[in-house]
Amino acid sequence: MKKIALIVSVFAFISCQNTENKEEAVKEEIKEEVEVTVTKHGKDISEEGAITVAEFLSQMEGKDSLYTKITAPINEVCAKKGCWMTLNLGNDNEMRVRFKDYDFFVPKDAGGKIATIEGFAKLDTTTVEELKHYLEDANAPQEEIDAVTEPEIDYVFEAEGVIIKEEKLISNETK
Amino acid sequence: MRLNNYYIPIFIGIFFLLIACNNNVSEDAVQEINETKLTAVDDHPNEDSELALLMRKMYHDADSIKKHIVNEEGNISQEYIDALERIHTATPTDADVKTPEFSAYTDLMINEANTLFSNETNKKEGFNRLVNRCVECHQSFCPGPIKKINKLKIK
Repeated sequence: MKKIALIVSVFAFISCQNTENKEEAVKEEIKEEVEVTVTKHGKDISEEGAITVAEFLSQMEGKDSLYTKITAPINEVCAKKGCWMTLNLGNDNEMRVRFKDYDFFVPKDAGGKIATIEGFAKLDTTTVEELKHYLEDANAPQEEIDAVTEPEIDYVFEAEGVIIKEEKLISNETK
Repeated sequence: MRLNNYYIPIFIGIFFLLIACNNNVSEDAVQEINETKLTAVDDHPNEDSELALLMRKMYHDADSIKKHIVNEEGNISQEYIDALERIHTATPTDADVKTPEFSAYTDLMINEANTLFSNETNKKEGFNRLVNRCVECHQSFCPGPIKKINKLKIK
């Protein structure tokens, strides 16, 4: 009986050690989880109900303006003040986003991150002067600025609130 | 006594079991830190220049002056005109804006503000002319806030 009790105890201990080994394996996977950093600017909005670029383009068809919430990657941010940004609409198209009443800006290093924006999208004309100014803000070369001679008719967005999300992979080395 | 002979190994086993299982719990707690979302709310996340901060303050002060004029309770103040003077010396976000053209626009604004200050009638028109001077300057140097500045105009 004494031997049986000892054997049971040893098995219990070994099985628990095995569990620990499995946990170690799980821990290895979790170490590679994505760390999400979120910043909010302007009106406090949520990501809930945000539509994709494809849904946005489909909903804008035949409309002059649309109040909506959209999630898309950020192409570029005003390098001087962060007072505008452009979102990637795919197929080499982008949409310029300004911030309502110039009341808030976004971090200048937000390019490449993911934005969720809520506000009014509309088809609008951007004048030559404005286009040149945006290029100056983006520190574009003078030749590129001088090359602008025609206004652009494109989607523009006036955001009331912005969420910027950065997803960073946590590797074992960074721990 | 015989009973103790059976229980001692069992207690030893349970002791090791608890140690092993406790180790697992502490590792789980460490893993949760990786899932934390960091959230910050900031409307001006970049370093603002002296001129940008001055402009922002002047907008808010102009909005107060507008209310005074609309309610016939007051006018532009000497303090506001002094702030306009500081545009000449405040460090801008972009050093390239400090051109002779920029100085000329600033002088036009200061003149308009002085005219409004000394004028007891037509304050509404005088205030709107001052706002137009601001817009003209922004059209040349920083069109971003023009829409907001235009909202200052008294209808």
